[in-house]
Amino acid sequence: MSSHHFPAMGCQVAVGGATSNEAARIEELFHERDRMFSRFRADSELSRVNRAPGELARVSSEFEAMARRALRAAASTGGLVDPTLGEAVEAAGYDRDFDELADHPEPALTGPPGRWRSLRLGHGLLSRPQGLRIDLNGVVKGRTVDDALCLIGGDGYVSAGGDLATRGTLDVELPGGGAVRVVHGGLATSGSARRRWQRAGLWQHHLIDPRRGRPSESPWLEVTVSAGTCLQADVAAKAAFLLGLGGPAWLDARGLPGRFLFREGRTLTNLAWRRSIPRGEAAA
Amino acid sequence: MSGSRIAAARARAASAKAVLLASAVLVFFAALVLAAWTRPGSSAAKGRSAVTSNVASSSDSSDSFFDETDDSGAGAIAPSQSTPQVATSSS
Repeated sequence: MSSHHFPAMGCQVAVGGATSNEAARIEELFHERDRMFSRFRADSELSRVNRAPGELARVSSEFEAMARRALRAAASTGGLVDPTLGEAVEAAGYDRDFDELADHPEPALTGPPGRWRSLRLGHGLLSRPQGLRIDLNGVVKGRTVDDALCLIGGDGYVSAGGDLATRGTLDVELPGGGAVRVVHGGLATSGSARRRWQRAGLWQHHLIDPRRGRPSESPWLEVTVSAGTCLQADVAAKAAFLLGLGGPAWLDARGLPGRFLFREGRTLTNLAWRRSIPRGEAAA
Repeated sequence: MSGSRIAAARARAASAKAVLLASAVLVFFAALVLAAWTRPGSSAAKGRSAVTSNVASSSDSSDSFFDETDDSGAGAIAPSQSTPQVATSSS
């Protein structure tokens, strides 16, 4: 299967099975979404909305649709995947492109808790409490992977930093060793293994616990989830990570297979995963 | 004379009724829009983004975020049977 690679959204994107024309459209789609939703581009629509004075900001139809997805993700996860944590993630120190992030002697600050219920959205307008900074990255990448797969005519896959969607079977290497075959849909991993940095000698990461406004102290290092789409898998993986030891049961309640990697390297799978992988563990 | 006055009064009454009915309908729909807008975490518009109209994807149309939404169905995994082509990890 032909493959195409390019950097976007702070990670490497891999596209398999696309024609050169399809691959070019997919690359443009990723860059377009990055231009619209990046927290680190002053000219992105997200930055413009976050800078807008007052409580009301005019938004494009695409921005509104993405924000609507983020609100649905928040509602479906009991507010765990919250689009209003822009200030909290910056307080933890993630205030520039990850490649430019350096360890800092100043301690991390605590941001405000999630306030997704304070958002109002509709008819090209977004209303939020003055000063609240939105961060839609909990849904943008996953949705873009799903949209990109739709641009491939035949069997193929799209993987953005390991969050992927496939049409046709795809064997995927798992965190901590082993592999799994994705027969259909999306697979995503969320965790604190990669996107992390130090503040005053303490590790920080990008998965903010919305209840406390600072990086989660989850026992998991990485959580991998299979779902119908990459967006669903990504949102579920984030929620399961933030739920800590309640994550496996939460996924089972939704019929979603999940694999949990402890910080010390052990893995645990939930019932739905074990039903799909009869031997109880992915092939090494 | 009195007949035409009665007819005129009836016409005015009918006109007033029509105005009242139209006002009531307008107030009703305004209240609906207002209720949708003020619901916490609300997203009043349910339409699909026009910007990516060339992209038909799958995860928006259900009330429950994780439910199956169209013929793409739920995700499915199985034991790996060959060398992995990609890796998944937190990004």
